[in-house]
Amino acid sequence: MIVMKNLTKIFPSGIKAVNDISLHIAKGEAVGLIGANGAGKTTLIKLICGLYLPTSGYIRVFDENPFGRKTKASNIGMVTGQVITDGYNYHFGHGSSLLQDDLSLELNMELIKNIYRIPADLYKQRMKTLLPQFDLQEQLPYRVSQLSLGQRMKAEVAAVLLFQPDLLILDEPFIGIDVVAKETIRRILQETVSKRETTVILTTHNVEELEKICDRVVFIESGRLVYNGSFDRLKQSHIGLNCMRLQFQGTPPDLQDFPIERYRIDNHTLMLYYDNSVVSSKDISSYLLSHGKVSDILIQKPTVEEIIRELYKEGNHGNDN
Amino acid sequence: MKDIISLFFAYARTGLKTRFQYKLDSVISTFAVFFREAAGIIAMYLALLKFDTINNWNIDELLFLFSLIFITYGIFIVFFMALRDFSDWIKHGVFDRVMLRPRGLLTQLVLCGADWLAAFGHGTLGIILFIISANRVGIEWNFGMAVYYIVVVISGVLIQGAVFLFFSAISFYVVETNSLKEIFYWNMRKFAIYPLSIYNKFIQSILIFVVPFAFVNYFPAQFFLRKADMAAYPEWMMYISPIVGVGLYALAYAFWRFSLRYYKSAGN
Repeated sequence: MIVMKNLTKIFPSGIKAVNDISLHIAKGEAVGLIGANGAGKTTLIKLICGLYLPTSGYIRVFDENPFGRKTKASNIGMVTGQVITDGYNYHFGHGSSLLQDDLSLELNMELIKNIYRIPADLYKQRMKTLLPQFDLQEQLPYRVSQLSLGQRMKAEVAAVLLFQPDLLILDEPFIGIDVVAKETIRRILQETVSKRETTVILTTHNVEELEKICDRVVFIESGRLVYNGSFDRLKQSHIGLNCMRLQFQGTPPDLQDFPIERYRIDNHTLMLYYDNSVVSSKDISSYLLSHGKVSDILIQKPTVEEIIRELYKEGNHGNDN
Repeated sequence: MKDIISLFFAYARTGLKTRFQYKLDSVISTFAVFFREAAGIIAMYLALLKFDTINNWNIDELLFLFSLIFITYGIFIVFFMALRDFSDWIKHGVFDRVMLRPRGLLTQLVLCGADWLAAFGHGTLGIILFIISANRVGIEWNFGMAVYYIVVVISGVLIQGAVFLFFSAISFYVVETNSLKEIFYWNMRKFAIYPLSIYNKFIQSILIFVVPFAFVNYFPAQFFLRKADMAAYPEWMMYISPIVGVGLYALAYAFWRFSLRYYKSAGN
């Protein structure tokens, strides 16, 4: 489906936006693409879409070189959720939006039908399913610029599903939208993924959604592929750790020689990450409770979000391994 | 081809439906375009009442000369509107969306931008000018003449399309091309309203060799009118508008393809 070998993209400015990435994504897979802003996610997506010419390396999408591919782009559907706001208004200004601002939702859908050559009966049938799914029936006559951000995003996803691409790319689709819209989009994406017909690539900072939709996560850092595997493995291999959060009155005590993996102190809050098989929660907590004034204590398995946050931090320290 | 035509109508239908959601607004803006352009012509008409002729071109002949500008422009904005505003597409990333679609890039650009109402404004004015002038300038219309007229109109559209295709390709390298358009298109268009022969050599050269508006209206008009000032130019120039149109467009297209490759390798 998608094969990359030693893919590199260097911009004329000298920035290595994508650095020697090798990756394989099978048909029907749902992959979460994560990384800090500027890590190279968007460049990687654009390489997959054939919007950029790679500097070196090999890339095939649907067994074709995406650059120079002309007729088969109906195989790729892309939804971009990046939105510019000016305080009280939003613009889907990035233009990579599927829908044209000045057209009504209905006309937009008709246009997509024509551009993607969807037969009339199939179009009717899909609209009949998609509109109620996304609860958009009443929005049809409105210009899409008049829709709320949540409705707009739902409409974007409905529009991309209208032509049923083989590869569906969602770039930050959850930014700034309300909980109900988020829930709707997530549910439908889960359904799409479960059919295993569409390959999905999702980039988001919203790791919760990522975990619910994707099977696999690809983590990029400064253009390099840092992690590629399942969520569970991410939890185990990178930080299969417990996280203890303690709120102190006054200064947290010294930790002595406890074999803690890492810790962080924020004012009066102490965060500890440790391997429970090396040192037990009981030992640490009893030590700290007797040596400091603890006002609150919380022990949990770190969420993927926290793990990734930790990973970002590692990266920021220039950890290049 | 059938496919492309149906897409053209789909764009036209959606575009017009959208515009006619605000009927009054649409009607007013169409008339606004019409009167804005007509006002310029009326002003010139009044001025000409004092002079009678410009370089031996009487008012009817001048109207015939303008009509070619307006008719070609009216058709031009049906097909090349998106190219006219292409730098905005690059700026706002709209072009990326277009590239992701399973249709030819130029097909989409050519089909999707049509400004029908403005086209109607310019086109109607052009046709009115043509009707007024065509009978009074002493052309003996026959089938061959009519065919050549249509051919030069198409050539005129292609020439202007090619100019904007060049500008569009330049947008891949520099973000801001509006001032280029202002200098090389809009100002040249103002020059092209009058007979080429009234200008100095420098402006004439630009209108012939750089932004060849001379082949949009002056030389084709000379074919029909055979004015004395044509003696300053080789006679074959009256016949080569179609070649200029097709040739320039092909050249612009090649440059566009080349620039597109640059765009994809450099990023935006």
